[in-house]
Amino acid sequence: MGNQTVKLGDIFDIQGKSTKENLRVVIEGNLENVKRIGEKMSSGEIIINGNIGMHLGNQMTGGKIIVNGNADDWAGAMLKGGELEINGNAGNYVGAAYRGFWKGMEDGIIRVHGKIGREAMLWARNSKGENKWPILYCNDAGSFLGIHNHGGTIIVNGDTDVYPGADQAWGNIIVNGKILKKLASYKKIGEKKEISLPNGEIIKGNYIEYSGDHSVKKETNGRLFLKL
Amino acid sequence: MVDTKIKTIYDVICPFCGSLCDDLEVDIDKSTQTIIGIRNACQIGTAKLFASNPSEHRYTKPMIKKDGKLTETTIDIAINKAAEILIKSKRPLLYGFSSTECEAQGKGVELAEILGGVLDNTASVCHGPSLLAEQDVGVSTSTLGEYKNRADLVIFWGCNPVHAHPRHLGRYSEFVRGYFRKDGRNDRVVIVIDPRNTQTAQIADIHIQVNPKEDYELLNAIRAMVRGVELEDDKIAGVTKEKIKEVIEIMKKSNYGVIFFGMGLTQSSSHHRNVDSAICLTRELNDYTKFLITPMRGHYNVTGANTVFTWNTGYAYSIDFSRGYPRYNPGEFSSVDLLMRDEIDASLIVASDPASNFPADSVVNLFKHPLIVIEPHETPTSAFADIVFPVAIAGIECEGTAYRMDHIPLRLRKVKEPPENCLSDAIILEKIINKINELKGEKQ
Repeated sequence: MGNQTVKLGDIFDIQGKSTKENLRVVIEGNLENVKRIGEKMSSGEIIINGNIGMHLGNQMTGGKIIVNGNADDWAGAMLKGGELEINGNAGNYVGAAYRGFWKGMEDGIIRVHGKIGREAMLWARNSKGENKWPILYCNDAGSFLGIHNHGGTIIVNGDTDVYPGADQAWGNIIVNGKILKKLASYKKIGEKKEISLPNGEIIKGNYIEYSGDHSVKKETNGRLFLKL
Repeated sequence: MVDTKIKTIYDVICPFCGSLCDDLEVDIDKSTQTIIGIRNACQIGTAKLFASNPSEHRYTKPMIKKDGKLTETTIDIAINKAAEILIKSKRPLLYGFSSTECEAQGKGVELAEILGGVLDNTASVCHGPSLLAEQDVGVSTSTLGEYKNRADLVIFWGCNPVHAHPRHLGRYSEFVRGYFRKDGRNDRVVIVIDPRNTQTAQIADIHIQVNPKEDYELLNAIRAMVRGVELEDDKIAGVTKEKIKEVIEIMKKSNYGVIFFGMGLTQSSSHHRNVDSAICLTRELNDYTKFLITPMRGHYNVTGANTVFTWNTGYAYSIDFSRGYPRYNPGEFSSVDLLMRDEIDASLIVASDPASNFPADSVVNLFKHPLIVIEPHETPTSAFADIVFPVAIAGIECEGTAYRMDHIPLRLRKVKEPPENCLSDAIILEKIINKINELKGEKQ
């Protein structure tokens, strides 16, 4: 707490016993000011019943975190594997790279059933050779969704704020609702009835296909799909 | 007969804005140690230098709050009380530092480390987004002297130097004659991109009136068009495609271009992403010609604060020492965010006035907890302080180092004696550090 070190037992009532495999942790209560739960987690499961603070599951490589509440900023930042499920809203920088990092989320899945904030999936990066495909599912999204995207896949069930896919080099952004304002550097290339994602998933529906961001490259593999 | 009552000091460095003009002449009345004349400075610089003269707004004695009122005290009592407050605090905030000399900034870093507190400077509400963008995509920049001698295209984006950096145009960027720009203003093309018809825009060759908050869209479109992409829209951010094409032609044909940007990019919506895109544009224009970018820093030594913090901790601002080592994350450890979440339980403000600049809710939380202020004049922040230390004004009443907006360090000059009992920021911070070490029982 601040510059003081305190024992976990002074703040939480702790029950149960630790095991080396298949560890399951259930946390109850208001944890809005508790940061870095599940940081660099590699296996097991954490279930959080309540709101949670910043940096939830950042840099985790495996396992699963379920939040039955809202998460604050940097949830799943620089995720390298595993699964993060948030049943409420999430703050800014979901699955984003930390300041100054050129590689953000590299693998894993983030599902947010509510709204997410600004600059989600900043500098997300796939790896074809290692079969790593970072994916984000969310309902509504804030501005600059998937900025500097280098291969991340983002599926938005609701609407997005301004400029989704700004500075996207390659990757896929699928918006099933409305886009408040699209960048002029995205160009319409046609319509699609079936989108096959790099991880093998197939999405059916009527979509307008845009290529971009052309401010990064004249010819680009970056795609933005908007539901008709 | 030579008048010996007045002493003139030449080549004084102006401690006001990031331009750090170094050619001021200041006349001092030797008997009263007051400034009676200033030449070469702009209006703002002149006002700052004259403000060091005795006035009812200037603190001359340490003050401490007693029964809700600030009352005079001695320096020892004030230091003792300040040290006690800071030691007791679990999450102290040290903020300001941009209008003081580098030596004091260094002491600030030391104090933050001892306390395990949060260290921040005014960049967090100013050009912090520029630093974030630089960390994301790098930056190609140069010194103001280079621009003066070489630049034939000057772009002011979201800044109004006629009012904010009045001598910048005359000394470095617009009217000045340079080694390769012998005809001064006639040898340069000046473009201003601003939603308002500012006075800088009125003296420019081209003024592009971008829609408010849509700078990102325009930058993005320019970048795509520089690459030869034909855009579908006819008008982007309120600017026609033809106009953008004309500007791109000027950019590509120039020999040496520079973009100066200000708060219009960093503090409008899109913040650091505006700067990110502007830096990318600069980088991409280097495929055609020489192009560079420089932020128009406000406080005279905010660049110094970033530099000193970086060489001590690795980070320029928003630094948290609570784990004993520095961690950096603007948005989490930046002053406004910390205060909005009410995480701070004591603050030390050095040479700054957050009460005038921060959002009201965060100021309410700042005033809720003990507040120590090191400040020469009465400000809205110091009026609510628990302890006020009067100081000698850096660059006028004491020496020190300051960094110009292009990272050139210059030595500030002392032109007159400070009021009695007024120590420099660095000495006050050192005394607080010594007292804290003493109270903690550690060796000095």
